[in-house]
Amino acid sequence: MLRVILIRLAVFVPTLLATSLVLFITVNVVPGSAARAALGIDATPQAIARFEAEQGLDRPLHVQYLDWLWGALRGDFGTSFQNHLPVGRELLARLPVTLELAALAFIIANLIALPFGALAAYHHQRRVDTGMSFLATVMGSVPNFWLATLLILILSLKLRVLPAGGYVALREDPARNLSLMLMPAISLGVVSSALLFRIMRAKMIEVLSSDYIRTALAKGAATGVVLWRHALRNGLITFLTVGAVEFGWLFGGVVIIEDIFLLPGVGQLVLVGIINRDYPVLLASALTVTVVVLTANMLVDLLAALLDPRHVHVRALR
Amino acid sequence: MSDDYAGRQGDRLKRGEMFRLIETFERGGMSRREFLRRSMALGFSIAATQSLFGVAERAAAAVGAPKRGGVLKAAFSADPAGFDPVRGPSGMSHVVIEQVYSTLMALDPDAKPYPELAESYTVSDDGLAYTFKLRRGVKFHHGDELTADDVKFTFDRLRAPNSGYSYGAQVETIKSVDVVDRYTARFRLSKRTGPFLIYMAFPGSSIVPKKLVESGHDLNAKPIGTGPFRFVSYEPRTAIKFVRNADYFEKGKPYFDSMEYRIISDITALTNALLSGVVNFSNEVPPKDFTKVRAHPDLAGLTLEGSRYHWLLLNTKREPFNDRRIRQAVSFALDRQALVEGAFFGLGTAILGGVIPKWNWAYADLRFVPPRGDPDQARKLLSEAGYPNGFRTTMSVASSFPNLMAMAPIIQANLARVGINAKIGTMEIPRYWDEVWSTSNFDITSMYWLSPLADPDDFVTNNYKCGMPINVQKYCSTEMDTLLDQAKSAATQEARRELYRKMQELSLRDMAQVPLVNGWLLIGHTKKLRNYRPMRTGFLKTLKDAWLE
Amino acid sequence: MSIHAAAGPRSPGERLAQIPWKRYRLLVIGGALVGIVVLAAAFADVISPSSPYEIDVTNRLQPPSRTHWLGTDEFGRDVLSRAVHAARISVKVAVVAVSVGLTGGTLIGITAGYFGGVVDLVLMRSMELLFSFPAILLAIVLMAVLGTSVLNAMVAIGIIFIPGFSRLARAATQEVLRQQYIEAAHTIGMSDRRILLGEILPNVITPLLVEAMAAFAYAVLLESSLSFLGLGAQPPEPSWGNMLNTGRGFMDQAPWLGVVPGLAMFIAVLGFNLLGDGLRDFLDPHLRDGA
Repeated sequence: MLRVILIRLAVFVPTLLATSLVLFITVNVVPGSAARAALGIDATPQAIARFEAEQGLDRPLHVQYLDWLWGALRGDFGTSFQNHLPVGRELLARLPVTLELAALAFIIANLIALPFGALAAYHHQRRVDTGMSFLATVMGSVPNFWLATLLILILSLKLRVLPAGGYVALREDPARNLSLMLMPAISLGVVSSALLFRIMRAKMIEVLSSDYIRTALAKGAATGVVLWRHALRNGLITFLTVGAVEFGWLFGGVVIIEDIFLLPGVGQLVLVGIINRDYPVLLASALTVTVVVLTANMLVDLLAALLDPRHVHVRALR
Repeated sequence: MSDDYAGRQGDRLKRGEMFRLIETFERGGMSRREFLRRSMALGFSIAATQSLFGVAERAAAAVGAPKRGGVLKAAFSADPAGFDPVRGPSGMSHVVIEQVYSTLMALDPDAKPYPELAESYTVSDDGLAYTFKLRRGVKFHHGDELTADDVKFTFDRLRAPNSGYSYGAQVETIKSVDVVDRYTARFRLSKRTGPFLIYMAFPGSSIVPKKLVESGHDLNAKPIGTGPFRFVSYEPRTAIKFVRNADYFEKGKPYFDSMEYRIISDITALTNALLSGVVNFSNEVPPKDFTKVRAHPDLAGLTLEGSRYHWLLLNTKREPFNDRRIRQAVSFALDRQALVEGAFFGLGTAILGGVIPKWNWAYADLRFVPPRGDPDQARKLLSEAGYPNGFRTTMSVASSFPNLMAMAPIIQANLARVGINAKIGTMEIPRYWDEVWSTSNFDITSMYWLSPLADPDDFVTNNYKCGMPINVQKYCSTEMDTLLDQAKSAATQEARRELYRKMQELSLRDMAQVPLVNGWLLIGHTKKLRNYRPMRTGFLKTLKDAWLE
Repeated sequence: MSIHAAAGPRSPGERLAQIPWKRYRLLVIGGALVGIVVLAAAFADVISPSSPYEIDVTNRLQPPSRTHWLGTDEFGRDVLSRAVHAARISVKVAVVAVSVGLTGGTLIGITAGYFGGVVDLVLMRSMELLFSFPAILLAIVLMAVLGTSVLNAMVAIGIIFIPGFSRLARAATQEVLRQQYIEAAHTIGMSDRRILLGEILPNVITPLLVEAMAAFAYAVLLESSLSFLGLGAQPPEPSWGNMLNTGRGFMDQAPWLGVVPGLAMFIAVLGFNLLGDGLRDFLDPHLRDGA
């Protein structure tokens, strides 16, 4: 058991390093000079040369990478080319926004998927099941940024019940914060609930048709009891493992949603970094998102290995 | 020009000058003595001027008494790039700098310079020495008094060889800055510089505190100046906060308790913020939403022609654009009215002649093309140049500029109707800078320019002079360069005006670039904002004179 | 009634009615939706009432009417024509991207599954790495590297698909390898290549095909996302994504500008998803109880 954990952890660190290296190389291969993006239309060649010297962009790539890595390990992600302020600080300030969004979307997705998934599994192969599965496919086919646009149209512009965008910290004004987070969370959550529903349903079917359950039912235990105590508990294991993956997936999907709803999160920072060729910003934010997803995946693997040695690699399922 | 016409022109100009004087005096931009001196210089008697005092004061009263208090929340779409006058190259930096610092001269809403930190100034007859007498008792935000030492320090800093100052061209004619006495600074120039006073009003010329900077203080992170507002904080991509400078040298001003510049990068969201009251001011209202803003019951919408002109660049080093007839043909082919309607929703001026706008003193009433273009003339020129059936070419546009993107398909259609087949290629800004702009790797491209200075030299030199960084169409003409230099250093404004007329005529004959549209400044603010005068330069200095009810 | 009567020749109508439509319901609906999209893409020029590039500023932002069935955009261009032409981009990108992903992924997956050992480890670890990047993020970064164009979008999305397909191909390969007849083929001296192509490939096709349908759907979504962010098809070329993006700015004056492109996306994605589900039910109903 301990061996399993250690192996997983041992693999995690090189994966992180490899990820950072890949991102670093990619970012530096991106065409379009950072200097000119930062300095503007009337930048003189001298100003550009000066900028590149200041930022160390004229050094060989591996030197730049090691320098950056050394800093990153100590929490120093450099300063933004645009505003010369430390990236790490801005990243830290934005992380709670993205985490909150992913968490809310996660809750919404699960609130929909869990009960319906269990229901569909219970009525397996009957009309309720087929109907719900179809509905799930339909809901899962909605592009989340279209849903976001429609929600803004109806709830913000026509009915005027919710603000169209922006952000206020939770501790400052919880009511307004939630009103601003509601539509983004719904956009993200509803579409992923469809995928979650499928997985829940599949797992529950498997659990329900297992010998353990059949025996219990045959012995005359009340259906309700069976459902609640045994099936759901197994379902919970699935929930935990799938949920962690789902959270990681949501975290990756926040980029567009943050852009639409003007949420100052990490995803928006990635876009800003790309558009402005602001390498330190791009690197740090892309890495953060990936690290969260990787960590979620690793936790999944750990949990799976611990709870259920026969566990099917959930990530293989679409 | 007949004498009579000249006379009438003269009267009109005098009247214009007078109105401007009254305006400036009204809002405290000059002392009574200065007002008297200058109105007499225009030819008004003392008695007449005295009566004008009454007019001015009554006018001020009609607007209503200023009210102190309130927070002005302004929305902007871009982040600033630093707050040190020597560093911040972007317009957004300047908009912050002008609130926190002060300059020797300042520009009024019509872009005329008036003394700000300077109480008065004198110019030597040969135009090579400017002596500024500073106001006394002006305090920096950290307490020190502003003296001529700070002025000398500021400009020595800008002129230092490795300063990185992006506007070195403004200070290159300064030979030296001397401290005559505690409150007097003298600038010695190497040659006559027409726009000198305007350069002194530029945000980059803001006076910085010598002792503080020498002790190692980083103005980029925490700017300290003598301006109407103190800098409080900057949260990247979110907001910049200011608070009133209680010791500001213009007594009683500013009226707002504090200001917030909110950064909202998505323009639709910016409009929404204005409409929903999250912010109460913006001068970046997109043309597509302006009618909505103006129609809102709580908002006022203002338009102002500034100097936000857009132009088409034709690479003069490539066939067939090396032939000026082809370039002229392109200009004739364009339907500028459609451009104004299509890209600016009618909120712009088609540039039918030279690029210097009507409100500027160097405007020349030249008309080269009709508003809808002249396709026949275009085709005629094409035939003359040897392309009776037109030709194929490409047009590169940077995708992050919505106005340029909006104009591109209209331009393409216009060119097509005379036989020029232009394929549009777009790319994001950073790649555009590298692959198209800096290497002049294009057939046709487009760009726009916001002149922050409002001196005619600023409108034209950067675009037309050989070798300037923005002259990527590589237009080179010794005749043009000579005209530009002469116009910049001519002795009187009249002489300069004549030279700029000649220069604009040449620019149209050579068609060094194809001017398109001057997009208006579109401002939306709460109706509660009073006495706000929009500036032609697009800056916000006049916010210190405004108040909220 | 003789029991043989049922086996006699029947009219086409009767034969048509005999097909168990209910079973293949998903396949049919999905197929129909996809069919609409593909036809629109293929015959865009014929179907469009006008050119998607024709500007008519005096008629901008018109609501749906008899002359413009889906209204006009901010330049007066016909929205229906633009939406139909945009279908072309989505279909092109989806087809190329899935092909790239399928080919690359299958090759890698089969190689890894067949040879096992170090080859397997190296290949699959790299796939894992690629897979761990959130798709949108990877797509954005790739597009920035390659440059924003439709062609590069195809390549970028294709690259994103490779790990998923490779994993599937590998699993299927390993499943097949467990079958006895491969051992037999080995013993009689069949070359690796012949085994790979002749025996393994045909058996991995089924799950891959089903997966491919889902990939088509995802490709349409990714391409639209990229165009939405300004990183895909560049204006004035119409793509559902960039139409939705500009449409967003006019939601209160002209809501159809935002609704129409999204609806088109939805139809395409739904069609492919249903087709995938239906195909799975048709080819291998046992898969249905899985995910």
